[in-house]
Amino acid sequence: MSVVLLTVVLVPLVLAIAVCSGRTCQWAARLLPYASWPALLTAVFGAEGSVVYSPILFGLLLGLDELGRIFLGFTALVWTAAGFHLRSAGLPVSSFVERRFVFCYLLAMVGNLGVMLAFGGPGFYLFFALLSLAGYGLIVTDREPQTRRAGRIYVILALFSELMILAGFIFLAAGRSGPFPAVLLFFGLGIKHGVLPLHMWLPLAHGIAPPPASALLSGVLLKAGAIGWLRFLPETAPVLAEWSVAIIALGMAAAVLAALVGAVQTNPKMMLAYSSISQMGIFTAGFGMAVASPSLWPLLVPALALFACQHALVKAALFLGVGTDRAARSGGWVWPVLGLLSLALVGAPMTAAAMVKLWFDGYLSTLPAVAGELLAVALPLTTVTSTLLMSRFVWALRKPRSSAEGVGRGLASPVPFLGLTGLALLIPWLLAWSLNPEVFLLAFAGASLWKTLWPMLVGAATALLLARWAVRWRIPPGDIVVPLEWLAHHLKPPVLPVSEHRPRHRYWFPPMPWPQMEAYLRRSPVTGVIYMLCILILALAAGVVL
Amino acid sequence: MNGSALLPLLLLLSSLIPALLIFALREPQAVARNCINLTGAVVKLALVAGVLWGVYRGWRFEFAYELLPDVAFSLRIDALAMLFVTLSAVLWLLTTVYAIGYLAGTPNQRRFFGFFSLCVAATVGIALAGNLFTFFLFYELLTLSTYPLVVHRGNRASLQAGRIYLAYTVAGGAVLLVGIAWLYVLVGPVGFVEQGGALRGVSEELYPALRWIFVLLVAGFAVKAALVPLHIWLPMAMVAPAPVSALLHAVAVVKAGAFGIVRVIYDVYGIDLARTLDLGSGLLLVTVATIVYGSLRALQQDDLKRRLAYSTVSQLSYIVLGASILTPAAIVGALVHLVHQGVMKITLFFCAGIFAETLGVHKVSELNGIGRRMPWTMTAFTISGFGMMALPPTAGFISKWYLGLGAVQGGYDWVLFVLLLSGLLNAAYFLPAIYRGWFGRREGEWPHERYQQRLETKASLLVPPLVTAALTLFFGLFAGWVLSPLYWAELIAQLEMGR
Repeated sequence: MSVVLLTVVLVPLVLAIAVCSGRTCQWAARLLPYASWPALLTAVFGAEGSVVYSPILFGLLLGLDELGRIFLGFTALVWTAAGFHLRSAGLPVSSFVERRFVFCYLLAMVGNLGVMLAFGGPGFYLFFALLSLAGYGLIVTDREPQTRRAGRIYVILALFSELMILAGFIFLAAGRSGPFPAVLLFFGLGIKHGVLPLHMWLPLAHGIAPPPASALLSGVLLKAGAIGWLRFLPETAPVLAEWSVAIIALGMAAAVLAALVGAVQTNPKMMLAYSSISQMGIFTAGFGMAVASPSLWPLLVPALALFACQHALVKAALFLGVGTDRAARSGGWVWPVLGLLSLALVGAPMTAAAMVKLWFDGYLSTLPAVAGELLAVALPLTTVTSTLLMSRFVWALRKPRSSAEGVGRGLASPVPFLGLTGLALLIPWLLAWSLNPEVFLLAFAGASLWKTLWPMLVGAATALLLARWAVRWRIPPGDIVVPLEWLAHHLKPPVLPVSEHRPRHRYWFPPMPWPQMEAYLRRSPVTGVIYMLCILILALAAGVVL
Repeated sequence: MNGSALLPLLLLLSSLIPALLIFALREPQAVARNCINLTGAVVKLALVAGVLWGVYRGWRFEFAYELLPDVAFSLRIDALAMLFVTLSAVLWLLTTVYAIGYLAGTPNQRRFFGFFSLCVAATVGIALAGNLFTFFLFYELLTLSTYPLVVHRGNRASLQAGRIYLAYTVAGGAVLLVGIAWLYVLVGPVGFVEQGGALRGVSEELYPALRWIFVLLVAGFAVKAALVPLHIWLPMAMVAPAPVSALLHAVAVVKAGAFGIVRVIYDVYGIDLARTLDLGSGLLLVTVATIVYGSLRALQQDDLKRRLAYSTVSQLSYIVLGASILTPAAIVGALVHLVHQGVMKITLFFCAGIFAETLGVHKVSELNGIGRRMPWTMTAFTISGFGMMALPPTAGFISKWYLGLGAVQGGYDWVLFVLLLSGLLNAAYFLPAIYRGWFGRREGEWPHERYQQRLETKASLLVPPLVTAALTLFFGLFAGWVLSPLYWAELIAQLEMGR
C-alpha cells in the first residue's frame, strides 16, 4: 500500500528528472504516456486505506477512498491520452524549449496525481503548489506577447490561490473553523476551476496553451480545486451551510454568464475554456446544494464526483480533437465526433451529464425554498446556454484550421482522440450505473427524455436565430481582466524614494585620513597587532564596566 | 576539569587556530593555506557531529573560568547553541570551498582567509557563550573581524561601506554594553538558563527597569539583525566579495543579532517573564514593519546582490517575529528559520557570485536565458528562490507554516496575513529573476564570460550552491525526519517551554 501510493507520484517524478539530462531525455519522452499508468492501475485495483509517511513534511498523509479512486482514475486516463497525443505529434526533446515543456508536463502530472491522493492539508498543498507552478510551463511555450500576458495573469491568480490555501490550512491546523478558513479555502481552491469572479486566467491560458496542455488544464488540473473542496471544506461546514444559497447562486451565475460570453468568442479553444467555467459553475451549484445540510452531503458527493468525471473526460477529448490532424488517416471522423462530444457535454438525453442534472433535480425540494426555485429555473437554462455555446463551437470548427507550429502543435494522429472519446462516453455511464442505478434508469424514462431534450432544442434554435447577427459583437477573452489590467496600469502604487543611503552619513563623521589609514592597515601584521590590542582593550573595558 | 569540558573550547579552537596559522603563512603559500583551512573546517564538522549526538542524549558541556570576580568567561553547549554551531560549521566548510575557487589568483588572500576563519570562531563563540558577558565579547570580536572582509576590495565603495558598517555595529555594541551593565547592576551576573530564563522569580519592583533593559539589549542586537531602521549597513556591505556576502550576510553577522534576541527572550528573560512584561508586542510591530519594508525595497533593486540583501532584511525578521510571538509553534518557526534562512540565502548569494564571476552578470535584467548557459546554478537559484517564497517542499515552507500557525494560535491573525503579503512580495521579486533565467532568451554575448569548460563554471564554485540547494529541498521534504532542523527546533522549543 505505502509503496504503491508512492509509485504513483515517483514514476513521473523520476521521468521528469530524466528529461533534464541530455542522455536520458529521449527515452523519458518515449515513456511519457506510460508515466500515469501506475496511477491508473492504482485507481482500478488499489486497496482502500491511508498511509502516513512520517519523515516527509509533518507526516505526509496519502490514501485512497471511493472519491479519490474516481478522481485519480479519470485524471490518470486524461494524462495518458494527452501523453499519447503528444507522442504521436512526434514530440522531439532536442531543444531546450521542448525539454522545458516536457519537464513541466511531468511535474504537473506529479502534482495532479498527488492532490487526488492527499488526505492532509500540508500534503495537499505540496502537490497543489507543484501543479500550479508546473502549469505555467504547460501554458507558456513561446515568447509571444499574448502568451506572456496569459502566463502573467495565470501566475498572479495562482499565487493568490496558493497563499489563500496556505492561510486556510494554517487556520484549520490551528483548530479554527469559521468564516476565515471557509472563505480562504473556497476561493483559494476555486480559482483553479474558475469560480466567479476569479475565472479570468482560464480563457486566456486555454486559448494560448498547446491543445494537449489545454486538455489537461481544462480536464484535470481544474479538478484539483474540486477535490480540494470536497475533501477540506466540510471541516468548516457549519458556516458553509449558511452560505449554501449564495454558493448556488454564484455557481448558476457562472454557468449561464460564462456560456453566453463564450458564445461570442472566435477562438474555438477559448469557447471551450468558457464552457469549462460554465460547467464548473454547475459543479459549484451542486456543491452549494451538498453543503446545505449534513444529510445531503453523502447523497450528493457521488453526483459531484460523477459530474467531475464526465466533464474531465469529455472536455479533455474535445480539446484533443481541436488539436488533431484531420488530414491523417481516419481524420474524417474528427468533426462528427466533436459534435457527438458536444452533445455529451451539454447534457443531451441519456448522457451522464443529463443524469447528474436529474440527480440534482431529485433533491430540489429538500433545499431552502429560494435555492430550490432558483435551481428549478437555472438548471434547464444552463443547458440552453451550453447548447448555444457548443453549437457555435461545432460551427466554428466545420473546416480544418491550420495549426500553428510549436511545442505539441505538430500534427497529431486522431487515434488518442478517438480512443479517449470512446472512454469519455462509456466510463461516466458505467460510473453512473454503479453509483446510482435509479438515476441511470430514470434518464431513459420518457418524461426525463423530454425534460432534458427541450432546453437543448431551445438552445439550438437560439443558435440558429443568432447565427446571422450575434457574430458582430465580441467580448475580449478574459472579460473582466481587461478593465482590471487597465486599472493596474493606471493605478501604479507610489514608488518609494530610491536613494536612502547616500548623503545623510556625510554629516555624521568628521573628515578622517581614511584612505591613507586603509593603505596602512592593509599590511596585515600591523593590522593583526592593532586588532589584538582592540580586543584586549574591549575585553578590559567590558571587565571594568561590569 | 575533565575532557568533556574541553569540548566547547575545542569547537572554538577548530577555527581560531586555523586563523592564527593562516596569519603566520606568507601570501603565496596558497596550498598550505587551503589545506589548513579545509582541515579546520572538516575537524570542526566532525566535532559538531559528535557533540550533536551527545546533546541529543541530553548531555551538556560547560567550560568556565573567572576573569574577574563575578565575571566569568563561560562556554556552554546546549541544544540552542548547537543549532547555530551546526549551521555555521556546515556552511563554513562550503563557503571555504567556494571562496578558494572565487578568490583564486587575487591578492590579499592571507588577510581574507585569516579574518574569515576568525569570523567563524567569533560566531561559534557567540553560539556557545554561556553568559551575557562572554556573548558580548564575541559579538564585538565578530564586528571587528568582519570589517577587513567588507573592505576587502579596497576601493572607494568598499571603504565607504566599511565605514558605515563600523559606525552602525560599534554603536550597536555600545548600546548593548550599556544594557548588559545595567542588568548586572540590578541582578548580578546573568548566565543563560535553558529552561525558564535567568530572570525567573525576580522581584516585581524591577519590572520597569527590566523593560528598558530589554529595549537596550534588543536595540543593540537589532543593528546586526538589520531591523528597520538599523538595516542600512547591510545593503551597502554588498560590495564585499560574494563568499563574504554569502556567509556573513546570510549566516554569521546577521544571525548573531537574531540569535542574540532569541537568547535574551528565551534564556535571559524566559518565556513566562516575557509574557508578563509583554515584551513581544512592540518588537512584533518593528519586525512586521521590517518584513514589509524590506520586501518593498527589494522589489525596486535591479542589482541582484542588493535585491538579495533587502530580501535578507525582510527574511531575518521572520526569526525575530517568531521569537516575539511566544507561542510554541512560533518558537519552533523562529528557530527553524534560523537554519532555513541561512541555507537558502547562502545558496542565492553563491549563485549571484557565480553569475558575476562566470558571465559578468550583476543585474536581474541581465539574467535573460541564463538557465540555458548555466542550468545547474539556475536550478539551485530557483530552488532557493521558491524557498524564499515559502513554496513546498522547500525549507521555507516549513518555517512559514510554523510561524503562521504560531501567530494564529497566539491570536495574531493579522500577522498571518502579513506573512502572506510578504510571500506575495517575495514572489514578486524572485519570480521575475526565475522567469528570465528559464523563459527569457539572451541576445548577443555575455558581458564577461569565463570558465568555458565541461562544467558550466569552476567545480569549486558550483558544488557549494548545489549542496545547499539540496539541503533546502531536503530540510523541507524530510522535515519530519530526526536529522532535520525542524526536529531539533521542536526539541529546543520543548526545553524552553519547560515541558
